[in-house]
Amino acid sequence: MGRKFSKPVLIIAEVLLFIYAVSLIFPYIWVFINSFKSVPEFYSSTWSLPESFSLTNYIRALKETNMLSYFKWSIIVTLVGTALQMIFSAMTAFVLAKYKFKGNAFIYSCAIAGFLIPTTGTLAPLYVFLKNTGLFNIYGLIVMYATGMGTNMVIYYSFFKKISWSYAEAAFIDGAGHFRVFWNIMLPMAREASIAVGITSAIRIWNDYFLPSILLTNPKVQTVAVGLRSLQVQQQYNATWTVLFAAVILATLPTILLYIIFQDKISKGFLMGGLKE
Amino acid sequence: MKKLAKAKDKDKFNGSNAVKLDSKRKDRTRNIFIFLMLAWPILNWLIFTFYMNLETLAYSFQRLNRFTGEMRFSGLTNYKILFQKIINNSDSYGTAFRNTFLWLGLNVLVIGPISLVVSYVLSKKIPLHRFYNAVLFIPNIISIVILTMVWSFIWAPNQGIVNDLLRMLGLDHLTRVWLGDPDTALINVFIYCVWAGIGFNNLILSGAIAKIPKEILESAELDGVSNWQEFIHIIVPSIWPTFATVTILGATAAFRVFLQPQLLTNGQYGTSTIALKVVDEVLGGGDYGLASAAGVVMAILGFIAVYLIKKFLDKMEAKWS
Amino acid sequence: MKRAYKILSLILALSLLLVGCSGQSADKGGSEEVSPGVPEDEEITLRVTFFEAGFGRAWQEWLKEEFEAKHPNVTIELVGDANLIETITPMIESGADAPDVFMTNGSGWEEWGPQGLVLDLTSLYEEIVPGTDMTLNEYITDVAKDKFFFDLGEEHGGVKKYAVPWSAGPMSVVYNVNMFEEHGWEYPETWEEFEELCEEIKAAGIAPLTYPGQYPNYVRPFIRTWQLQEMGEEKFFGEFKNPTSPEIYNDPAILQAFSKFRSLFDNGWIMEGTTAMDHTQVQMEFINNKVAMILNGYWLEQEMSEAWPKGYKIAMAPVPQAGSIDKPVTFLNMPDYMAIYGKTKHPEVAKEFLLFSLSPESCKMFAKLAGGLRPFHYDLDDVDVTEFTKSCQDVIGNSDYYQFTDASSNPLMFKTLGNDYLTQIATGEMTPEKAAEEFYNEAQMHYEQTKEDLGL
Repeated sequence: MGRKFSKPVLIIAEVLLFIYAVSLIFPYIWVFINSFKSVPEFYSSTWSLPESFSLTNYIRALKETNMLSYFKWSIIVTLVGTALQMIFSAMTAFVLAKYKFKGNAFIYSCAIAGFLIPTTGTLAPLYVFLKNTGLFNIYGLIVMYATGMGTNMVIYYSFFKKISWSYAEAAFIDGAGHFRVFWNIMLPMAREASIAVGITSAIRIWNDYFLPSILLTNPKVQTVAVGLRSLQVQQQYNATWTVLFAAVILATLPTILLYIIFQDKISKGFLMGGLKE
Repeated sequence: MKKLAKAKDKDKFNGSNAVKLDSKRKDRTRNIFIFLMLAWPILNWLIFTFYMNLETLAYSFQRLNRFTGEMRFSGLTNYKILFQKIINNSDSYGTAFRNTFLWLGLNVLVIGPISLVVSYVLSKKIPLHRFYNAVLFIPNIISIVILTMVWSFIWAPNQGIVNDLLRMLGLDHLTRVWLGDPDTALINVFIYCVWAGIGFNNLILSGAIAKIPKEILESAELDGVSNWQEFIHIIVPSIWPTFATVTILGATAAFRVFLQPQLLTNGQYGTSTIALKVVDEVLGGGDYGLASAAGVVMAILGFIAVYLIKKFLDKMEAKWS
Repeated sequence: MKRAYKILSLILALSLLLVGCSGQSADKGGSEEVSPGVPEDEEITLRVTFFEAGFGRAWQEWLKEEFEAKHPNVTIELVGDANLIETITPMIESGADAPDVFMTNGSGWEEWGPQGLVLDLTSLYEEIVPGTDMTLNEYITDVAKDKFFFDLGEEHGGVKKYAVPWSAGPMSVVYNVNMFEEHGWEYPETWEEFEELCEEIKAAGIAPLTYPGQYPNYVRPFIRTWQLQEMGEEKFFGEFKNPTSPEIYNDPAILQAFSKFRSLFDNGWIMEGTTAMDHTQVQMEFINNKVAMILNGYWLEQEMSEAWPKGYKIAMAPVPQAGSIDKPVTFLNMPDYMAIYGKTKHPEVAKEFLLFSLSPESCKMFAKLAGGLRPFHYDLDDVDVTEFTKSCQDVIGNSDYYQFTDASSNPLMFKTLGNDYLTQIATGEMTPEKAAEEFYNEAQMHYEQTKEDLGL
């Protein structure tokens, strides 16, 4: 804890932090309140309470915007993408951490170099590649998420390094194969890494906007982030702000609820993810 | 640890009691296993990292024929055009180039230090600190699409929260078209980045501060150090490696920034970045050559900048340890 | 451990091979002519993807119903997409989720046509349009030919037609009729009168004019009309739209138009906050009587259908007379087109669908259901349309006005309006002089590159 703050410092800090925290929360309350208004009501006053808490905008958001389908695809992409990212990262990390072979260190440095180079610049060839392979769809997105040499690998790597090989030896003597040792013994022992990687990857994929916005061209197959963005674009053509508000609340609510429930696990996961190296 | 694992490795696979033939067979299954485990991750890396980077370099010397869809060699033309555009600020390339470096400054000199101060304050377990920690992290679990949308509701000129508040307070003359005025737009986008960016750094830095041995802080307290001295002489040096990581991450991120200006201002009103220009050229204009040249230039400059910053951070670390 | 290396290099080779091969898959296709007529014995699903925006989807629903009734074996799959302007390129160029027929905004077909990615419709233009005795070549208005008759030059096969117009209509000044009547204002004939009117409106404490600042494309009717008025007909159509050298883009008319645009701001005629707003926001200000006139298009009423108060009255008016054109000028906007994907499995059905959608009956339904107009020879006499749609029709049908479009099929024309410059002129980041200079630089580059690309 160290030295406590003096009263004035403490008050200043509290006031500033409180304003900051309110600025992070209040907009959602504002959106929530206005999501019950009709369009003319919203335009006449943005601060009044709604005349009635009618769910019209929510029904419209669900009906007119494929909101449920956005959720469906987001869940599919997040589950599959996270699972693949976890498996492939664990596989790569396990082999690199536990097996000695020529090129091992080289592959590891390739991975590190890969995520240190700024990648936005490579968009042009990526776009052409996707065009030529016809991967502008959900499969392309999954393929791009199914990496095994990113930051997740580094988290697993440091974990596997710490796990003693004697467990594996015992298993080998019992006649287990390499994969069984990996899958049944080592991976369960890296449970903490799996939780960290799983949570951070899932949140990252769930929230990702850029890749799905490029890859998912079919309006029937959209994730929540992309769907909301097109809703925002569409709103510009029919001026139904309040429906957009309802959609924003619908899209945010599940994440916020999960965050409230699993806050500690989520923070811990990100802490580990951020502290690589 | 590493050595131990390796030693055991050797024991296992070159065990003296194993028959030679058997060991050969085992070697083969082991190699097949390694191959199978690495096949996809490496293939994925080769395509999406290695090949894409190589091809970007190649594209930067080519130009797309719009009528045939072919790329053709064009020498240094793209680089020439790029530098001309930056110098003349045509298509806002000059602004975009400048902004990328302003973002570097923002991430390294503003967001990092502010986060550090916030983490320090919160580490004192002041009233409501758990609430603050939880709320500050919210931007990291919500999609940037929603965050920027909400931000634009806050600053919208007519039905926006801030202007409405100003009007209610009778401060009509202070209302602005915040995101649509070249005088305020870039600052506003910067403030957004601070607003949304502190939470993550705070989490990481708080974790590091929590690991500082209690005794050190206690003995300092007994010595009667002020908060400022404690912060500068104990906290900062102790968590410097973590702070360095946060800074490096922020520095690399500065060269990729494009979603924030894209979603908030469409890159208009002097808020564009080189990364956004790349995205616009590819998705909008189809000038793959120019986009790639910009990508290559950015990668090189980014590498140099990050390298210099890392050098500096390492030097500071050496000084303290 | 040589093997690991061998394997690695094998993967590398494989991946490069994969990448190399894939480069050739985007070959030409669908360019061969297919005999018309819809087969009636097989079940066919036709995917029709359309830009779902201002025009809604009611008209497409109607088309689906009618077409399916006529061809029981055909199912139309409608895909409305508000993002189509962005997603259509990967769809067409990669084939992923590609539609059979698509209706969108822009001019992508100019590039996809020569590459075989959209079907060559030249023969379709020879066919009789259902419900008329005209071929499509006769049915389409002359103004629209400027855009849709694509002249690639003799050695590239002459005039080709790769798309048909979807919708086209006036883009100009829309004013609040009620407000004008209340104050006794009248929409002016000449630009001088327009300037006087703006001062009068300003004096009344109302903002005279606005446009969706985030999308300076809405200023197009002003900029293009001013360029036309300054250059004169001959130069505008002979050189500006069909350049023989890039010098035309250095014409004083370019700078003059930019300066005139800047003067709107300097005179305080543009509503405060305009530069930051998108179309919904400014249109809302217009509806709420905060501003007297707005630069907009014939889709305005439909686009804001949920927001109009009772008894509202608005009308479209031409750009006031000035310079070498002796009448007020109407600018025709026609970025919307329909085309057929080059690799569609059902080219005949797609063509049939396209033809069907062109019939006068269908065009009338388009006006009724979507408030849209199309550049064909048909009349709306027996259709019940709103006052606003009537005013739009009047603006393009009235012989007291001069009508033109900047749409052109000449690839050498530098078609950019200069949106980026307009934003920066509006906010004061760039002077009109600098903008004109940059415009010329860009135009020069465009001209040289296009010439090279076309092998001229």
